[in-house]
Amino acid sequence: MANWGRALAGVMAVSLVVSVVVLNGPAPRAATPSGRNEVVFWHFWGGEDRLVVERLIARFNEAQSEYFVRGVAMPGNNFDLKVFLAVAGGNPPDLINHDDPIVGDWAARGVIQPLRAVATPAELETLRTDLVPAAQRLGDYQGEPFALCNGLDIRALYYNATLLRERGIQPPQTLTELDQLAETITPPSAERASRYGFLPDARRLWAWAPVFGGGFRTNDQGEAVVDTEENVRALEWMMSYRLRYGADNLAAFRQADQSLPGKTFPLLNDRYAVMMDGQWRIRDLRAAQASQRERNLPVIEYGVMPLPPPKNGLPNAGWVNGNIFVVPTGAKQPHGAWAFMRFWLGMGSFTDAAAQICEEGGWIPTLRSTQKSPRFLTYLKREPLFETFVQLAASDHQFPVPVVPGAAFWQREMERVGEQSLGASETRSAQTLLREAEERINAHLLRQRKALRS
Amino acid sequence: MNRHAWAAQTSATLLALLFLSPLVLQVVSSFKTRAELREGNQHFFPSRVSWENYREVASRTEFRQQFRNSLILCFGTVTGTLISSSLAAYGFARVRWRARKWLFGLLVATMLLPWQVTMIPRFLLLRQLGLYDSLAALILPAFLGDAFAIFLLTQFMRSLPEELSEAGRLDGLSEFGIYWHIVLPLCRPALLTVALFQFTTTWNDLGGPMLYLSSPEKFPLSYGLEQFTSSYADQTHLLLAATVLFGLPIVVLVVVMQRFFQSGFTAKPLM
Repeated sequence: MANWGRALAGVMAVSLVVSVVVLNGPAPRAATPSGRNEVVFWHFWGGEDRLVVERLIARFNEAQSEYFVRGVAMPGNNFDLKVFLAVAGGNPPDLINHDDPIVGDWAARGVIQPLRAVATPAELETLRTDLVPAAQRLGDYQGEPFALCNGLDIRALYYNATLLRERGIQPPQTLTELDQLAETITPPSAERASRYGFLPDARRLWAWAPVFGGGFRTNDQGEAVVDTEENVRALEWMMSYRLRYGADNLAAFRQADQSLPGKTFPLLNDRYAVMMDGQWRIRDLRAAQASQRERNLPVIEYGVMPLPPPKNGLPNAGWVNGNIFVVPTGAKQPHGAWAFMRFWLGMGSFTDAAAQICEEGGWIPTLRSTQKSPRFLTYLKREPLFETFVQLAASDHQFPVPVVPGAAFWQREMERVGEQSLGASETRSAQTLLREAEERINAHLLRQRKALRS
Repeated sequence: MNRHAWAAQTSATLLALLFLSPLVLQVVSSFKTRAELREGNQHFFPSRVSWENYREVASRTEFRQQFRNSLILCFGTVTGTLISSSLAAYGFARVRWRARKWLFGLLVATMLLPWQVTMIPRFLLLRQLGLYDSLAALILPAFLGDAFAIFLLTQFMRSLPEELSEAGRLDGLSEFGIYWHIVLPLCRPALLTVALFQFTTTWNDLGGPMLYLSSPEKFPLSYGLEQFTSSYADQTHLLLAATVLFGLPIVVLVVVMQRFFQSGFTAKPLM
């Protein structure tokens, strides 16, 4: 027993010394080159994209001699809290790249700086003319740019071109044609269908409302406007699929989508003929085709088209979100952060570098000049599916979640309305669902405003 | 074996298999190629067993570094918890002093507090101490005791016969001598249980490192797993292999220490 005690004491003593003395010292890291200012950059990128971002940072660090960007990938878990504590504690990063609708909340709370603090008036004017409208909408809070959008997420309809050709169906140009396609591939009488022609995504009323000429905005009093005639029609159209196929059938089918590993694209599993998704799915399609070629299987062809509008609807419309740069209040190297933002977006002489970034990541440039650069146009010729997304990104009919404090709540509420509209137990009309959502959102926005005033 | 025992064993086996199935699926899928995973769960087994995913994960310098950081964190917090909590428990269980019952109740009540409640003041305190972005920020608090560990050890120490301490006093041992030479060795099952709990808690913790650390080279393995996920394109094939490696130390530890783990809760020493 005494031996055991001595051994335990030894282990504890050694580990105490190791824990307190040795581990408190700095861990080895690549040193910032002398004479250069370190720019700490927190970002959300993971998976393959992180490797692209790391290469991009390395290229920036090689391209100039004033700053040295140190990228830190930060998972979403507790990220907002970490930023808030870092700002309050006086130790924020110099630049953050985020992909959530945080601009309104963070700007209203003084967590981030307006871009005029880092950019010259001439540079801001360049952004006004060169940024596509959707990117401007994502970064402006109360008419002032607080964030710089460095990538847009655009939704379009992917379709299985091989399947449509076999069935003698043309890609739909109007909403009526889309509905007809859905019924042709999967008749309403089908029980436990293994494939649907098309199903509206419950989360994407955000995308369909602008297609119907509606959308979500705030009025002059800062109140949410949700219950409009166009939005009601969009939601009624989504509900029509529940009535057509039965809510239980849809729920069972969608449940099976969830069993696919990771973020597998259901179009690849032949579960849909047409489905909505973003531009990042192109690399999944290309990888699947490469795998089919490798195994000497027939290669399935795919196409992309804008969301088809109804009569009197808006063409090239939809919901946009994206990746945004923000400079936290108290950043020690805000101008270094701005230099890196300019490099990423392709401002000034960096157009070609930015085109290369977008090509490697499969990202949509937010500057028109980068979109039209020879390098990017060459890429679009090689990847025609991407071209549709770039055209949509330039459209004036792409709308984000309104940039207000409480935007995340608003986004979730509309997704909830979509879920309710397709749910089996829902008996309320589309208008009632929207009106109730509007009340909840306005109550939340009011609480936000009161909290900010206090 | 009678019919009831047979039925109980069969039910238990089936239940165990049910609980084991996600783990089996995870291990089997970790050998699949990216293309196989992308095509969905059409086949349960991979077309061929390939260690490529594991090789790629293990070859990443950052993965090895994060593995090391996780071990350091676990080692430090287990040591800290064992020292501080056993001392505090001894005070509550074996030393008579005023207000000890009241303070023990207060300590137990702190177990009801969610971590988030103390997160911000703790962050500010550690930053003022200059420990922000150091592994010590996650290790040092363990040297200040853990309510659950103190509770568990106190209950265990209370069950030891008082005569043992009396005998120690007659032999001239100090209070610390009784703690060190008599009580602590008898508490081995409970200490190992506490160690196991602390190890798994620290090993799985992501919130703490995310809050107190900023330098990638100091992040633990729980953070490393997040690096395989993405809003756009997960590296699911690598993530599966990484999670198997991540879970391995815990599985080994639990299997090895299972006996002590059970007795830590149920044993009545010297009775």
